[in-house]
Amino acid sequence: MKKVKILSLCFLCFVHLLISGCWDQKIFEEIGLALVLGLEHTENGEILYTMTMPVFAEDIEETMEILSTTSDLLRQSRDQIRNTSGKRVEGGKIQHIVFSKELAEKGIDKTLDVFVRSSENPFLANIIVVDGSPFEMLKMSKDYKDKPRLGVYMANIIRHARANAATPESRIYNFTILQYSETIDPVASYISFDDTGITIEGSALFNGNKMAGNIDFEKTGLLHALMGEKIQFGYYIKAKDIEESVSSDKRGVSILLYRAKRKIEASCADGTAPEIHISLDLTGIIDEIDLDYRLDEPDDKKNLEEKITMLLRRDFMNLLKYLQEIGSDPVGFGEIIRAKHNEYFKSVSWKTVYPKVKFDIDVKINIEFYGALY
Amino acid sequence: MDGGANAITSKQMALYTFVCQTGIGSIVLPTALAKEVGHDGWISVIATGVLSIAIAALLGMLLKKSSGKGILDINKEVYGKVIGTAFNILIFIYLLVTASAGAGIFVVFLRISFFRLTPQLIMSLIFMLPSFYMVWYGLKTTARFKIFTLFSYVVVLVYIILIYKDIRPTFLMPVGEAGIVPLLYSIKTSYFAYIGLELIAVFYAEITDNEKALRWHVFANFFSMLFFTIVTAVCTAVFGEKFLPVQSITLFNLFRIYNVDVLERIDLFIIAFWFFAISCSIRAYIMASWYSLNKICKKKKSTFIYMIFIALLIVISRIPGDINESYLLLDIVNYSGMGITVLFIISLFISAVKTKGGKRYEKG
Repeated sequence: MKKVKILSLCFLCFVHLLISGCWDQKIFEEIGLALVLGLEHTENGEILYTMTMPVFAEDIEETMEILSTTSDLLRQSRDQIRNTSGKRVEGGKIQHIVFSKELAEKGIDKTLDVFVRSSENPFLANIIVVDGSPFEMLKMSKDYKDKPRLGVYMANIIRHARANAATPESRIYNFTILQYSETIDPVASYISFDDTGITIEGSALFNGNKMAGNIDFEKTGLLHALMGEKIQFGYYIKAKDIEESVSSDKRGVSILLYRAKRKIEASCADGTAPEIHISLDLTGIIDEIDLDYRLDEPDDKKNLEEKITMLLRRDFMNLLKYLQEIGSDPVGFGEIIRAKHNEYFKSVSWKTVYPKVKFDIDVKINIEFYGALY
Repeated sequence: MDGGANAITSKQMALYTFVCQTGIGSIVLPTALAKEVGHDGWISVIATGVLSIAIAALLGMLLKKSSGKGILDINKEVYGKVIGTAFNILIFIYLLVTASAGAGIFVVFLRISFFRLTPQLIMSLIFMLPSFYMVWYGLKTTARFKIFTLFSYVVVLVYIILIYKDIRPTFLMPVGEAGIVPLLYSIKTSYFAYIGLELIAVFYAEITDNEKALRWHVFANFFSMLFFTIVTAVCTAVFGEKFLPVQSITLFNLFRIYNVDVLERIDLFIIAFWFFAISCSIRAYIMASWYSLNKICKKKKSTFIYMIFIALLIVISRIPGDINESYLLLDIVNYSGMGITVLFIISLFISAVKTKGGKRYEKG
């Protein structure tokens, strides 16, 4: 018994003294942490791989290092970058993967493979599509003197946009899950940039693994409601849309929609396109209004609610029509049909049937209150 | 072996069985089932769970009639000294290979998740050292240590609650789409996860309150079924039936999807917690094989033999050259486990009949 104890103790000492860690040891001072990764196609079909790394050195003025290279494989690019950065570049803390719109339209396909395959890579990095070149964006971001470091800046604007349902929660894992599902199309954050900063534009919509279109942040809010997700977004109506006869100096109404209850029913008959009925029960608050309504009068309030309902229904129908046109199904109507009308689903090709689906939407809005003024 | 060092209660044996079954089984089970029955894996798990509870109950009932003896003593009684010892050696080989296969797959999991470049031999030695230490001190020590793994299960269950937003119930629908025949066929795959229910027969002689063993053994298998069902259903409802089959360490991938403020990813912490359960699962078989060896040899534990035993275990664990071969070895262990369980039942049944006959003869 004593022998085992002594042997065990000796072995532990040997391990601690001679191995002092392991073959996979990474010393913080020697590694470079990639935070933002930009991907786009070059003219010769290779992938231009750009990344930012924070610089932690007192004698260097720059706070961020930008490195780029081209190759066919992401791992190859990382290894090439290691040869120029002077640091062992690691992707374990990548927060954002920014695709150029052009690359996203050609198809993301298996680009994310390395992030799923290697568990040292994060599953939680945001998937973003930029209108333009990620390389240009990362380079320009060096001039954003009044903004925090790019990775933090992007994380902040995306987090706030998500809280306001202005852009979807799209990370590597849910993007990949949806790609594999084949019944729900993924969505991603859609951004633009200029020399003053980065702007959240809304959502990039995908048809399979290819970007097929995009919607603005207001429509992204509506899309969140259709997807049955938590919402909190502003819905803005011009005065002319409420009443044509209104005087030109009237501006309109702003409603904060913050609760949505969704119900979807589908009916499928052989040989015909499915009919999908959506019921949406929305709750909101009047944030700002420049119209002649006395909201403390039940009739006036009801009248305004009906008009908002009508406009919301119109916008939802337009959004559904657009989704059908581009063949993108982020709501997962295909998944609902597969789950609840499986025989029908197996008998058709969903992508062919989807543009022909007849949608009917029933919207109800309840204005809970209207602030401190009538 | 010293009886005191091996004495355990029925409750400890139940925990032993539960951890042994769920430690490794739950990591790969969702993927293995998705390959066979798509999103209906959880149905297969429940069906196999019911079967394993029935087998566990049968084992428990037959053991109750064995006058407190374990399977290694019963085999000698039933088949005679030579054939009985031959069967016991077979049981020892099965337990040793199972422990080695578990150790091998443990190292594979470590390489996939943390240590890609660290040599296997170093990892095997370092991560199995606590097991070797505890096994030397006997069944009681290894059984007591299993209490710590309960925290790992709590962590996993809390984590599952935290990712509720990512669970899509429609990914589990339509229920039963795979059909009855594929579901029945998948029972052999699910049964791999329930391997470990036979260990009670090996350790039965050491259970101090063996009148409660049957009840606790059934509970252990019931809780294993519950845990497997939760894990399989959640993994399927999160990843979907098409993404699951391409994964090699499903449960660990599940740990990668939750984002925590400041820390961001917490997968490494939860995987580290789960390593408790995995190592305890392997340790159960190391303990069982070492216990069997001592029973067969009928000698006091010897340091020299223990070193040879450890060397043998590590050598066998290193036979698979890649992850596919490691899974193949697990498959072999799975089928052997089924065969061994059948052998246990036959031996116990013959023993029970003989005992009954003997009693009748004595009565007559």
